[in-house]
Amino acid sequence: MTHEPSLLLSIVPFIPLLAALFVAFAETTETGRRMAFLVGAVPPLLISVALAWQLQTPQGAPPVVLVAWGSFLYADLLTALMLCCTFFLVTAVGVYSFAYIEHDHLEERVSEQTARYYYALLLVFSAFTAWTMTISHLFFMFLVVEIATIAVSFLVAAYKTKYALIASFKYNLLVVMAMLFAVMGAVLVYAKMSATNPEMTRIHLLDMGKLATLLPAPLALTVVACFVGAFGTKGGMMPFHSWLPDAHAERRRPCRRCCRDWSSPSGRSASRGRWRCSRRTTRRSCCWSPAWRARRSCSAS
Amino acid sequence: MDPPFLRGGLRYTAKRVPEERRPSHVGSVVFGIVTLAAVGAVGAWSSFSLVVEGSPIDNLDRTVSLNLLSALLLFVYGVIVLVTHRHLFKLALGLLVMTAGAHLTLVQMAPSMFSMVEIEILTKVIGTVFAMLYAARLLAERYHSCDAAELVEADRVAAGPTPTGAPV
Repeated sequence: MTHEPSLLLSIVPFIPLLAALFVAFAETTETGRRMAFLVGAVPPLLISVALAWQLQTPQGAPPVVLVAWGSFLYADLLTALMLCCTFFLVTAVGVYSFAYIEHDHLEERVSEQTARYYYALLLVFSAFTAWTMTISHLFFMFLVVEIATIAVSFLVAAYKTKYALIASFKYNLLVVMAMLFAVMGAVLVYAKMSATNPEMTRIHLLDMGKLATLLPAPLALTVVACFVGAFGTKGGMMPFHSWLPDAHAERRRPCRRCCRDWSSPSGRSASRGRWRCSRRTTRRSCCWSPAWRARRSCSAS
Repeated sequence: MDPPFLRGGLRYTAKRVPEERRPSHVGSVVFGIVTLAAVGAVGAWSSFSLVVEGSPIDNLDRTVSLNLLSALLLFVYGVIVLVTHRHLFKLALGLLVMTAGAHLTLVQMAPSMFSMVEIEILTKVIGTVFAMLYAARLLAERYHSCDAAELVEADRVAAGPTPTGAPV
């Protein structure tokens, strides 16, 4: 395995973070916010693609690993591909939200401040997710996961409706509780590691393979149970997915309306108490593109 | 003049948050049983000590650190609070207790990681708990309840029963 120092790897999370600060505290127009969001999301995507390209090695050659900050940041090909996926998804979500945010701002569902914080939080989330994937220190990884979790919980609560607030509270509670179990698992690993080899001063992800052989079976099983519970909850995997339906039900219209009409009594009463009416509403809402809805709202007003 | 945080956060929490209407002592009873069982088990198979030489995990069959047991019991108490309570502020407090337990365990097992504990506490208290209390405060202000079940049940009662044959 060849270790190559990389400056790009350390730059990646700072671009969305700076863009988030600019969106949150400097920019006030919708067009400026969109431009700043794209500046914060697209260049890291391109850098991630460049990193993935750099990490490709011919068959038979030793794999290349990029490191920065004295191996504190670490990226192999899988990490680079996950960075590409993250920034691609964040860019797609942000671009798709442009018309929705504008429409809801015109309808006064969201304030100017909320519209601004929406893009800022999306960029903060992408920055800390990038750090989650590249940081090799286990405890710092938990730290950045928690900050990304806070950003997501504020995004869920952006509309400040009753169920949005409940979903945000639930998401925060369950994910942070799960992360605490991961911390407990890491503590057990560290306690054993420091007893076996006092020279090891931090839990490096690359050392986990070596540590696994040192742990007795009951302790290893306890640690694995803690990690599975933690990352299963964070990833919304069954049976740790109880936060998922609430948080996703608070997603943007028109899909939110579709779900509420089909699943909840309040949705039924909103569409005049008739399920036939709900189906009609569902079909009509889903056919409307966000841009069309925004234009329609502008022309109506 | 009060600073905004005191006016909007602490004073509001102290005075205006609705109380739990159906206080339950199940959590305390369960915690009491767990504590007695843990102390009994350690007393039967091992012995207590304030400071343990070497790794706390390797010596569990001979000596158990009193600090370690307290930290683990704190963690368990946080879990019990989260499972048995429905009041949003108590849930946030349960999470804080659980966090304290996890960090005390970390300090006991790995004293060299103390700086990580400081950073974690800063993130948890300023970030996570602030986000949770922000949501809880908005709910308390608008719906005059901090009971998680009550907040959800209110809509179900208002909407009435689901009609026969309706898609679920």
